[in-house]
Formats: sequence, C-alpha cells, structure tokens
Amino acid sequence: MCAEHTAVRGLLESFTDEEVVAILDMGASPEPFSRGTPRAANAMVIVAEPYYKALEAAVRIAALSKDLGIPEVGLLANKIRDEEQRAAVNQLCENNDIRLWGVVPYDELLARADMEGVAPLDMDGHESPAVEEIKRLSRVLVP
Amino acid sequence: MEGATLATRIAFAGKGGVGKTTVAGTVARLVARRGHRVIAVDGDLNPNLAISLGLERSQAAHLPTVPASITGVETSPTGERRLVLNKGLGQIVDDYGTRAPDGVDLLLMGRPDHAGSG
Repeated sequence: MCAEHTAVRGLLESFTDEEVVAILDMGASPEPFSRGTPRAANAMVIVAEPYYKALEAAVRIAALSKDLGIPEVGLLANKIRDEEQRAAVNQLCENNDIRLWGVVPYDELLARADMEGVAPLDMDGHESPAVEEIKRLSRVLVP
Repeated sequence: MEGATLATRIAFAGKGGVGKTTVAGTVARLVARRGHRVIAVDGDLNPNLAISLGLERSQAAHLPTVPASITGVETSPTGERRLVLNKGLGQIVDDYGTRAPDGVDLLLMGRPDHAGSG
C-alpha cells in the first residue's frame, strides 16, 4: 500500500491553486496517518456516529491530524437521533478540545440513499434536515 | 476560520460505516454547485465515493484509476529528497479522472491488486 499512500499524499500536496477545492475521502484505516498521507490537508472532517467505537476512533484521528499539523481539525457527528446523543458528542468535543463542525441528524433519506446506491442529492425529497446540515457544513468549509 | 476558500484541501476520515463517504460526496457537489472547481479524490479501499457523487452503479464499477506512478522522488543538489508529481494535476484529471454530476471531477486512486481500469 506504500505506493498508493505516497500517490495520495503527492496528489493532495499538488492542490496549491486556491481556486480548486480538493475533497479527499480517506477511508477507515489509520495507516495513512502514520504515513503522513493527509499532511497537506488544511481541513480535516472526522465523521463519527454516536457510539463508543466511532467516537473513540474520532478522538484518535483528531490527535493524529493535529500531530500532522493540519490546521482545522473537527468532528462531524452523524446519524444523531436525540438530545442525549447530541449532548454526548458535545461533551466528547469539550473533553478532548475538538471543534464540532456540525451535527447531522439521523435521516431516513440518507439511509435509503445508501441502501439504493444513489447520491442523497439525487433522491426525491432531498431537502432533508440531514442534507441541510451538510449544506451548512459545506458553507463553513468553503465560504 | 478566516478568509474565503481557506479550506481548499478537505479530508474526510472516520471509522468504517459512519457515513463519511456520503458526506464527502455530498459536500463536493454542494461546493461545485456554487461555482467552485472541485476535484474529489477517493483514497478508500472500498471505492464508494463515485456512488455518493451520483455516478451510476454500473459506471462506478469500471472507473479508471490513478496509478501510483504519478508520484516520484526528486533529489535536490543538496541531497534533499522531495515528493513530486510526474505530470500536472490537469493532465492527471484528463488522463484518469471521471466527470461526476455538478461538474465534480473524481480521481479514484489505484489499488494494489488492480493494474489499471476495470
């Protein structure tokens, strides 16, 4: 996998034109972080569902990202169903000094999109609360 | 965050199944809809970004991949080694990219067991 990580890193470093926005989907493995693959990112969005393993992984990834010098590192909570889950995420971010990019509510539309292999924006009724929150995130990241 | 387009290189990470690919693809298209040039890079072992960008499943199964050979190492006169691309970004997009909805260009990074396009 070494060559592929190097290629991703080199590619990300090449995005020096501020007129172009690069969006990198990194995958679940922690290996890219130990290889410094996302070093050139200027924003890291760590997506986490409100259960222990995902939140614990998010905290680790946040620390690794900050170690790499990525300037804007934060968590995006996803599939949040209630206030208790929202509060747990807020607490985690506060305890670990991680910014919270946003909180995406659980949304049947995204679940159906996932099941059908269709993009959420192409689903009927795509003006859903989850899509609205992702839209807000996109404006925070790229004003 | 201050200034416009500060985040020009946005990475999405997280445990498997949490929805990062869905969010990444949706953000890519939403930013592109506002007139920005967006290049989405799929560095995941499970290449699902194409689907989240709105490409048809049948097309997504046969996309060209970016070979590892796009990068090389250059040694400066002082002996310093640095990573360089062997061709320009525009050429890489032309040669290996796939156009997705809303004008997003997708680059699917090669996997160890794939020799090239499907």
